[in-house]
Amino acid sequence: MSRVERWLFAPGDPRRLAAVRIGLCSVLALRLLRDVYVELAGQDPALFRPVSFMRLLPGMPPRGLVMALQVAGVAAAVLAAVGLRSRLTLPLAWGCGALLLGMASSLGKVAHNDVIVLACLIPLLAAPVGEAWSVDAALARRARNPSLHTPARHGWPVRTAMVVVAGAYFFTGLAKLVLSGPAWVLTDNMRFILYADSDARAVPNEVALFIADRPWLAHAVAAATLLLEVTFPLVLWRPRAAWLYVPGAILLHAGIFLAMRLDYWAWVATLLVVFVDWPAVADRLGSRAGRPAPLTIPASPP
Amino acid sequence: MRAFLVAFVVAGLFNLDLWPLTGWRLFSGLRHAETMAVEATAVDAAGHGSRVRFGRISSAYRGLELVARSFGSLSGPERDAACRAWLQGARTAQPGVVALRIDEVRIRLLPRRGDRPAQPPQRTVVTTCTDSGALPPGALPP
Repeated sequence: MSRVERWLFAPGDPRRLAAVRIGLCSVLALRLLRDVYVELAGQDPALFRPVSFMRLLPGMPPRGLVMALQVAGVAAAVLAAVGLRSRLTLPLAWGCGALLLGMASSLGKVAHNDVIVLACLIPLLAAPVGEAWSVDAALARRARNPSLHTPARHGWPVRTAMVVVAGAYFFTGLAKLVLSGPAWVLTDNMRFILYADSDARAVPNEVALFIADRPWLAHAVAAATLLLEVTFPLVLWRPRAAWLYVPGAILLHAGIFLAMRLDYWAWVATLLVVFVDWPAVADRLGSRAGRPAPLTIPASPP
Repeated sequence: MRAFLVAFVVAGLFNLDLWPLTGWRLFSGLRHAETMAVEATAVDAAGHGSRVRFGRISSAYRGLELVARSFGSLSGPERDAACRAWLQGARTAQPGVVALRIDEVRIRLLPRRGDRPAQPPQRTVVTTCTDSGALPPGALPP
């Protein structure tokens, strides 16, 4: 087994996997609650620009079906988040999400904010996500029937999600280098991005104009953005680097929101869900409160 | 799961859009001092025009710029259908609309005058949409 595979398939904490389940399913539920899908439903087929499997459809799904998918998707995502029948509810939530979020990407442009949530959920679809911090685990303990699990099954889904997030930043930066080269930083490219976005709005964006009016600042922002993106995978080899890259990425998304009103909150939430060691946070909070460390399902049957 | 990671990496390396896998192209193209936008102007019976911001009407119309940029490659019936759809959308916000003009707008981002470009934008009519469909550029609505 190669070094990469040894890292990927190393044992993991079932609580860490559960935290990723809870976090990503919660983000998915919130994304599916939006009224944009009903607005898109019944769109005139003349304006339909499908992506991927959406090309199998003649147009946006009808309103009734969309509402049913939303109800089913949100319910399944909430149930998966709390860990009830997650082997069924998580794939159901993902399926509903894939179709609904696919609608939002079928206007001619991919909605990347949603893609990262769906992509990070894929490794969880076949994983034992409900063996800790879940209703299923609580019911199993009550029945004195702890599920037989091995730590090796809980590591790879979380690490695969980490690879997806790190890869998303890396490929975003790589695309800039491949398509534009160093000119993405060295020319007035960033100034033009910000000016064009501000000029397209009824009210000029003062943050965008503040940066764009100062060439040195625009070049610095462009350089920092590209550097963060292409080097983000360092966190996979040096976990401590996450203390730099996670806040840096949050700062990047906050800046994008302030300067361009582009809302990437789902991407930020996914980043935090996947890269923060939530069991360690819970243990620390628990020890401060004077509580004993939370029970975990034993690695082998008693 | 190996297959998923391989597919994810391949899509990222070769810029493939296989939703939900994607090439992650976000602001990757180089921008220049001249930019192009698409604007829709609703015209009433008196000939008065007012800009239509479709994104505020409904998410279903957010792809205006992307569809309009490929207008020339659409067939006649496809153009007529797109036009009628946009006209219908504009009428939900402004019931008295008799025609909808779709303009390609070229903007010189520099130099600036305050918060806006110093030079006025240059407009080229892509099409005018009426109840009968898409009129060619330069044709006046009946």
